Amino acid sequence: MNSMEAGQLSDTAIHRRMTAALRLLTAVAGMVILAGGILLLVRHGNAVTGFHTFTGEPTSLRLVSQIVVGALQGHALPLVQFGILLLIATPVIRVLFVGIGYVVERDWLYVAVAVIVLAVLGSSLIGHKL
Amino acid sequence: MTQLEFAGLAWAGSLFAGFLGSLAGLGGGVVIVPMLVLGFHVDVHYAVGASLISVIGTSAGAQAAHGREGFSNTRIGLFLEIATTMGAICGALLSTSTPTKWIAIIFGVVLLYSASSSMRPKKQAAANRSPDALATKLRLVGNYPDGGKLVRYSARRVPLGFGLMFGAGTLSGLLGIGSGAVKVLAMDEAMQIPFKVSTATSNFMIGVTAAASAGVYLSRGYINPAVAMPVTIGVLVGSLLGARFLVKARVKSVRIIFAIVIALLGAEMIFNGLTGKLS
Repeated sequence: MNSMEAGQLSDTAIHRRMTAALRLLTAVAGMVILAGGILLLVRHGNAVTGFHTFTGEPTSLRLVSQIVVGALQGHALPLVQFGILLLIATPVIRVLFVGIGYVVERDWLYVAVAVIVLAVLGSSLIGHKL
Repeated sequence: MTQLEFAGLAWAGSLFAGFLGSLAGLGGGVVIVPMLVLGFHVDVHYAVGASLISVIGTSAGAQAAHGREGFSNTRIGLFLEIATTMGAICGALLSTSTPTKWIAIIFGVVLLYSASSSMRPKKQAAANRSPDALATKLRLVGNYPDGGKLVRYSARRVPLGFGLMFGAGTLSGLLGIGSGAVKVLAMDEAMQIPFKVSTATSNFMIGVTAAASAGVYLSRGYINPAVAMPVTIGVLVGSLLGARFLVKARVKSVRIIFAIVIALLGAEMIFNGLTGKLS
C-alpha cells in the first residue's frame, strides 16, 4: 500500500507539470494552424477549390523536415501542416511524460510499456516515407 | 467553391459538430467524415485525415479544459495503448488499399453501433470480486470513490480486452474516428472495468491512438492542410464551448438527438457506399 501511495503522489506532481505543458503546446498548435489558415485565405481565398479527387500531397507537405523548412519560409500550407505536426506531437509527449513518471517510480514494467508505445508512435511518422 | 467559402462553411459545420459531440459525450469526430463526404463532396481519404487531426485536437483540448482525467487509470490506458496504436497503424495502412465504397459501408455500421450504444443505460460492473491473476501481475487494478467510500476493482479477461482494443485502433486508423464506443465496449463489457474509470481512461487513450494513425496519414500525403485547417479549428473551438456548457447542464435530449443524427448519417453512408455514389 505504501508504494502505491508514493506512486500516486509522484503522479500528481508530474501530472500538474504535464497538464500545463500540454495545454501550452495545444494552444500553440492551434495558433499556428490558425495563422497558416489566415495566410492561406488572404493569399488564395478566391481560388476555386475542390477536394473531390484524391491526388496525394506533395513531399513538401509530407516529410517533417520539408514541412519545417516551408513553415519557416512563411508559406501558408506548410505552416498549417507544421501546426498539425505540433498537434500530433501532443499525445506523444504525454506518453513520454507518463513514462518518465514510471522511471521516477521505478516501475520498470510500465517504463517498458511506455517505450513500446513510443516506438510504435515513432514508427508511424518515420517508417512510411513512400 | 472558392477556398474562402469552403473554409467558412467547413469551419461552421465543424464548430457545430464539435459542440454537439462534446455535449453528447461522443466526440465530434464521428460526424466530421459524413459531413465532409456527403455535404462537401470531399474525397474520403482527405476527410478521414482531417477528422483524425480534429480528434487529436478535441482530446487534447478536453484534457486542457478539465485539467485532470477524473478516475482514469493510467496503467490500464498505457497498457492498452500498445494494442490501439498498433491497430491504428494497421488501419491507416489498410485504408490505402480499401475501396472508398467499403470505407463508407464500414463507417455506416460503426455509426449505427455508436448510436445504439450511446442510448444503452450503463450498468455498473460488479466490484469486490477475487482479483484476476494476469491483471494483478500487470497491475491493472485500482480503486475509485463511489458514494463516499473507495471501491477496489481489477480488470478481467485481459487478452480479450487487448484484442478488442486492437480492433478499436484499426477502426480509428481506417475511419479517422476516436472509436470511443468500441474502447468503452472493450473495457466495460470484456474487461469489466467500472464505467466511471473506463470512460475517463478512454478519453486519455483517444489522442494517442489517433496520433499513431495521423503519423501514417501525414507521411503518405493524406492530410490536406486546406481541408484539415477549418475542420480542426472548428471542432476544437466547438468542443471547448461544449465542455463549458456541459458544466452548467447535462442535457439528455441532446444525447438522443445526436444519436438519431449519427444513425441517419450511418444509414446514408451505407446507402451511398452500396449504390457506389462515393467512388
